Amino acid sequence: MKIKRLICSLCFVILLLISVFSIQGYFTNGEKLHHDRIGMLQSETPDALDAIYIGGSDVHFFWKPLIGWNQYGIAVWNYSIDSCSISAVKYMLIEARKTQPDALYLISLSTFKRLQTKTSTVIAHRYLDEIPYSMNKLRAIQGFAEKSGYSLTNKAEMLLPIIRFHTRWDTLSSWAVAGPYSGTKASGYDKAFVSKIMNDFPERFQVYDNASAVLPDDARLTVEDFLDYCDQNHVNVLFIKSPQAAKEENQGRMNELEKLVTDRGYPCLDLLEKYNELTLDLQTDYLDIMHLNVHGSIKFCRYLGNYLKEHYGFTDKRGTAGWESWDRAEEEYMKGLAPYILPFETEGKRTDLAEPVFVVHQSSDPGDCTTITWDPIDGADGYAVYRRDGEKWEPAGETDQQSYADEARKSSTYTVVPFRIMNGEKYYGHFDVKGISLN
Amino acid sequence: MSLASFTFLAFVSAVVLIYFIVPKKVRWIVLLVGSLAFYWMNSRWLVFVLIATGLVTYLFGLWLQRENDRHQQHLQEYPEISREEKKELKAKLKKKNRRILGLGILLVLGSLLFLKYYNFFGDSLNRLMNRVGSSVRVPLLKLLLPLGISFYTLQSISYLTDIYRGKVKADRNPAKFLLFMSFFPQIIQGPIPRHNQLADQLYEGHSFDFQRLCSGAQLMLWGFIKKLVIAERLAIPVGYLYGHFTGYTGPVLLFAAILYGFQLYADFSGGIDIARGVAEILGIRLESNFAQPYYATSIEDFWRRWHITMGSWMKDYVFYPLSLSKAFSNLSKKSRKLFGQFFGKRLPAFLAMFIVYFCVGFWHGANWKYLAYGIWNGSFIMISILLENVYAKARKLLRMDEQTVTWRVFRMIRTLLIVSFGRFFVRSLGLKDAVKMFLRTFQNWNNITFLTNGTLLKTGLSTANWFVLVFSVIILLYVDCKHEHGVSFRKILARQHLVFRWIILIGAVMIVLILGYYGPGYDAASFVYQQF
Repeated sequence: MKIKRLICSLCFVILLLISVFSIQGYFTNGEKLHHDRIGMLQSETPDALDAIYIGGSDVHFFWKPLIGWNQYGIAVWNYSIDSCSISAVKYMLIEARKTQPDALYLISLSTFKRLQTKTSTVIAHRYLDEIPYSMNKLRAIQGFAEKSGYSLTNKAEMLLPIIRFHTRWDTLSSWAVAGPYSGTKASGYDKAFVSKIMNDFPERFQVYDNASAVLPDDARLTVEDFLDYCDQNHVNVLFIKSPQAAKEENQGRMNELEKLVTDRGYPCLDLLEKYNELTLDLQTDYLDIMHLNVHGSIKFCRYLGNYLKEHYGFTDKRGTAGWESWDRAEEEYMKGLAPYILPFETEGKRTDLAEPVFVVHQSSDPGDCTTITWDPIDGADGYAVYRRDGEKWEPAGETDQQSYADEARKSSTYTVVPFRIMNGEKYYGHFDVKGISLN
Repeated sequence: MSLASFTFLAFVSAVVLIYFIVPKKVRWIVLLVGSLAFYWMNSRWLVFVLIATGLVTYLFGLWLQRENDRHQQHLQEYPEISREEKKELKAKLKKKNRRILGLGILLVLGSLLFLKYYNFFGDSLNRLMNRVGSSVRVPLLKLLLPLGISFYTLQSISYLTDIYRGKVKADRNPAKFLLFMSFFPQIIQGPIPRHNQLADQLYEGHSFDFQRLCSGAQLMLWGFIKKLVIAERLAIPVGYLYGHFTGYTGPVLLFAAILYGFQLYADFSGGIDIARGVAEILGIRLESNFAQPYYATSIEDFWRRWHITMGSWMKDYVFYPLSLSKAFSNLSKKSRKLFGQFFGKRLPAFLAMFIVYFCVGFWHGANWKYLAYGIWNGSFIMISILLENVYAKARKLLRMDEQTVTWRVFRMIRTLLIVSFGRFFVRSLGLKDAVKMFLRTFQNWNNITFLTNGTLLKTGLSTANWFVLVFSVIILLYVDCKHEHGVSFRKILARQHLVFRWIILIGAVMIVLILGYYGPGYDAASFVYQQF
């Protein structure tokens, strides 16, 4: 009788837990982008990805996997969470390695430079709610709790997110109940990414090669613990310094961190130093001082993808069996980006030609053409004029003169792109990404 | 640590587990250690105030018992003494014990009065001095109020008085007695137990009983629903309406008062159910503190159903000692001569009642508004007693049958309105605000469409939440209705098929998990009655 009751009670508890865990997915975070980057990694073929890029917004506003796929056919996953703390990076690495043990791990040094060892509950949820229950998850909860001073309720909400998110019952996130989500291979974006351009900015980044700073003990120990893990588990790691503006003090921290990791034998790719090689333009490629927009991201992906291809031998897997989902996702993704970018941007043929200053005018006579005029650009062999009437940019025409006449249009937006011909191919310079509209 | 928190659940689980693992003989020690640990987690060093109060009560209890035992022993040793001598000895004992009891109550009550009321009276006196232009000032102190002091003080007084009356024998074991004073499920907000009801249950180790575990857990679950789904949800519009009462009049304010009544009931009874559920799991039966108060047909009936243990405490330790005292007996004789049979007979009872409700009011808090609350309730009871004959004549004249449902419903609504008006005094910030709110309730009854014109949606709750609230209050009233007719849902549930039981229980847990107001962002930490 006692055993029967015990079994009965255990069955009840199990049923209760199943019920709770089954429904809590409808309430949790509801942030599609984090689900795409963290949760959807598990749906990738095990041990197939070329690389996994771990960090914070200094990753996902820079690297878009499907742009990398579009450029080189390489599968580099964006495994990042907003405001990622240093403490979280190790747990993210451990989790990712469960399904992708042999991938190259790109670690953003810029994430480390914030020296943030505490992980707020909001940030912790972004990550923990997307990974399955495991010892790593429990250790992550315990680790975050120790560093950040979580209460028992905080720990309970990490284990059972419904404790925090149950209040959403009257506004359940529609995508959570809609059914299986195919994701965008961690390349999702928001409106700012595709349409925002930074307004107020310094002309160029100041690079402080010789800056140094003292790393707090807590941060240093956390980084060293991370490196110890990489040593013990023979993790193939490449640290990356993103081309983000940083004050001298922050660059000092990054220099110290770079020294710390390179002293331990790990390579570090300094993209802040290579800002010119990336042909990044503060006027057009950044949505704010810390993050790239779609134009900058395309350049970044082009450069980094090429670097990885050349240094790590990643092969082009486009059209290969087993990678159909990437091909399909890339096609859809690039269709989504098309309204915001010019066709040549993804072709990679860019050069350092200044942005033309141009004017669009139309005479008052109906039937007359729309004329675009500009000043000549040094080094340009010609100028391509693009027009946007609705969603998408389309080529209007090309000329080697300083004006172009288009048929009369009422509400088109124009931009002018200088190009230089090198080895029989056109290489495009800087341009006004927003364009000028005819009023 | 709130009763409706994960920490408390974890704590209870640990205590229950350890309780049933250790040998029966020492299970009371587990409860004692658990209770003191619980008190420490909530009040830290103030646990020593509880221990000191317990020690004083214990020692005075022993003293009283010793006097009683000596008296008995003397009578046994000298059986031949005359009746007059026995009477004389008894009178001496009574006189001495009265002094001991008085001193004991003074010490125990003194700490409550000092810690809870010193600053209140000091501040009131300072304001008065200020008004009359005097520079005399009472220094105000930074005093911390120990958790549950209002409850365990009454427990101490009832214990000493029961020994004095010979109803109970003093506890010989100080540690066991401390357990009686500090038992953790009921220290926060009651119920207020009597020694002869609770002590033996605490000291005797109980065996694990699966049915009790299920029944206790179900009662706790119902308590969580009342507290987290109903009370916490009601707190939002109530808080808004009381905080912005100057923007509302008439029916809206009355509605706010009624809502507050339900919030208070759900909060308080929810906490009591959680406490009783925990105790039941441990094999201990705590008194129920509520008996469907919103089914009361008069204020007197209401106070027999609301905070029952406090009501019965006041009756046994304030009302009866006063009204049966010699002084009141003399008062009764004099008042009959002065005011006639009808009023004269009732005057001492009214005075005793006035004192009782004065105490009830002030017990709730150190503020004049609570005194007004006590007087409000006491006055209505006195009025109903005075007009009893008038009502009876009126009913006869109108040929009204008291047994009809309509008459009962009328009385219930009337009682609800009187109680709700009284609640202005409890919930408002102070007496002035309470009076303002009270008066504004009679103004501008044009806006009776407030229920449908969107007024309520501006009080902080969405439409969906209002639906949940209305539905859950209906369920609460339905359950109370069934209890009023002697139906126990737990017993009915126990008889159902296993699958049905599990569906109901899992559903109830989900209701708390999903619809409960708890967790990060909510301050579910405070029970209203915990402040006492």
